Amino acid sequence: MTDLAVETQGLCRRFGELEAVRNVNLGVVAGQFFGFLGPNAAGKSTTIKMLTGLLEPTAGSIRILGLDLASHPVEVKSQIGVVPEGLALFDRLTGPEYLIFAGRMYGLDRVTAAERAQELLDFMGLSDRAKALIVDYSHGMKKKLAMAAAVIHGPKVLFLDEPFEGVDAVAAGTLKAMLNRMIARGAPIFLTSHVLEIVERLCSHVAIIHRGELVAQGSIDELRAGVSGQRADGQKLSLEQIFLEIVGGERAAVPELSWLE
Amino acid sequence: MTLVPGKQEQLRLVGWLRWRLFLNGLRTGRGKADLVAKIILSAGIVGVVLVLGPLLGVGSWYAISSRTPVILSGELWLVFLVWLLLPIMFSGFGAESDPASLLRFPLHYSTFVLLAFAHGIFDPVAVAALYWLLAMLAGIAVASPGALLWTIPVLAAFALLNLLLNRTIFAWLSRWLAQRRTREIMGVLFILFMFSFQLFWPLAARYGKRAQPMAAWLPPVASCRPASPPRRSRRGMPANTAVHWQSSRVSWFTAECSPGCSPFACGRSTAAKA
Repeated sequence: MTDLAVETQGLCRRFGELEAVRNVNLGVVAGQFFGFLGPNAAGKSTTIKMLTGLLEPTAGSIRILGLDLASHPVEVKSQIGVVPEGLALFDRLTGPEYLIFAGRMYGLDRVTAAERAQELLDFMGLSDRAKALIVDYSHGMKKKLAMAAAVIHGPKVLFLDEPFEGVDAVAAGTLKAMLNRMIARGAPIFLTSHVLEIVERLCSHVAIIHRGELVAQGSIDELRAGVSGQRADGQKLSLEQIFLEIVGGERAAVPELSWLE
Repeated sequence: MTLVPGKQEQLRLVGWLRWRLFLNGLRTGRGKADLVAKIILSAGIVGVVLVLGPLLGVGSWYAISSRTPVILSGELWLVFLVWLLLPIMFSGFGAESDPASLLRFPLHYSTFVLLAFAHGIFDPVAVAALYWLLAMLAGIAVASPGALLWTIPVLAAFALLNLLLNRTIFAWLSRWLAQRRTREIMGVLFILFMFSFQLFWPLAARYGKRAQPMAAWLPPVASCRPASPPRRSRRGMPANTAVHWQSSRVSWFTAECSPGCSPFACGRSTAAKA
């Protein structure tokens, strides 16, 4: 029995000629706040879709909480929480209706689902818009609702695809508070994000994917040590600098725009 | 850990979801106006569908009585095209009820398959097509009651094939239509398709026989005919004698299964030429 909450081996995904994810081997330990980083179109969302059972891998295996996802999809999905890309909300439901539906689909009884929905709406500051349809919610409100739906059943692992994208500082603070509660419970969180400052502040471990391949994995200090070793200047790097060193090192000099000189 | 609800409970929850989506859609003025427009439009469509049923039944009766199988081919072509093309055209206007949107939840595979199948069979276009097939069956039964024994499995196979083909196409389209731009393109194509009917008769009246250049691109289309439903149906249909009816049962059965395959056959041949 492995103590890895999330484990992939040789994970691959092809879309026709395009190899979006190539031989990815990930390991997330229970209680870890794991950041999955990469430039645009690096394969982050494809990977998280495979990890949550929304997309079938072309090759490789995925184990969540010791269960093989391919052979136990329902059991795995019942134990994880997901905030997918695009949020996948039903626009013509109200917030409480959506939360109750999500809770019931995860197996909560009617009373418990209603109680937790109300508690989550209060926590997220959405109670005053309980009668509004989701289509009328702001982007930040939708993010908070999607997050609430992902945790209503008390998942053992949480997968978040760009949870802070387009979210203001106030909403981000609420979301971070909730994530920290999850970590305190011992549930690992796997998140993708472009906002490196947030990842650096929240995550203990990071993996970086570039052009479909995993190019770095470990704690932020381990990554920092590796990159500093290469630079040999002893400077303590931020996650953004580490990221640029790993991913952007081969990038050519940015050309200047003639009318902005 | 929570216990995943059973299949019946999951189906009941999805039913509740659809009901709430419908009710909440009526909360706005626009939603109510949409409903009124849909009721009026549906009444018109239902009228056309209901009238076409007896016409197809009479057509089938005449086809059998007068030994004119080409009429049956034409009718099956109509059902086939309406069943497969109209839902695709309408899909550009919204895919909110797509069962794939539930995949993030711990949905049993059998529940998902049932939902996808139900989504196809309760599609209004599928209901209309099934009604037309029943009308055709009635026409054939009146003309030749003995033919019912083999007509029922043939038409049932035809319906099942169309249903499965429809679901297959939608499974492929759902990924394609996930992009907003693709939905817009489908919407524009649908509008152009509807406008094309307005232009048909004026153009036919103006150009008449001078429309011969169109024949230049007909050969590639004609090359698909051997695999097409009318051609295959005609091969299996009786020519002159009652004895031919007997010998043609198996061949007609396979012929009626071909409509689903013929578009792919055409596509493959076109791709091979390209």
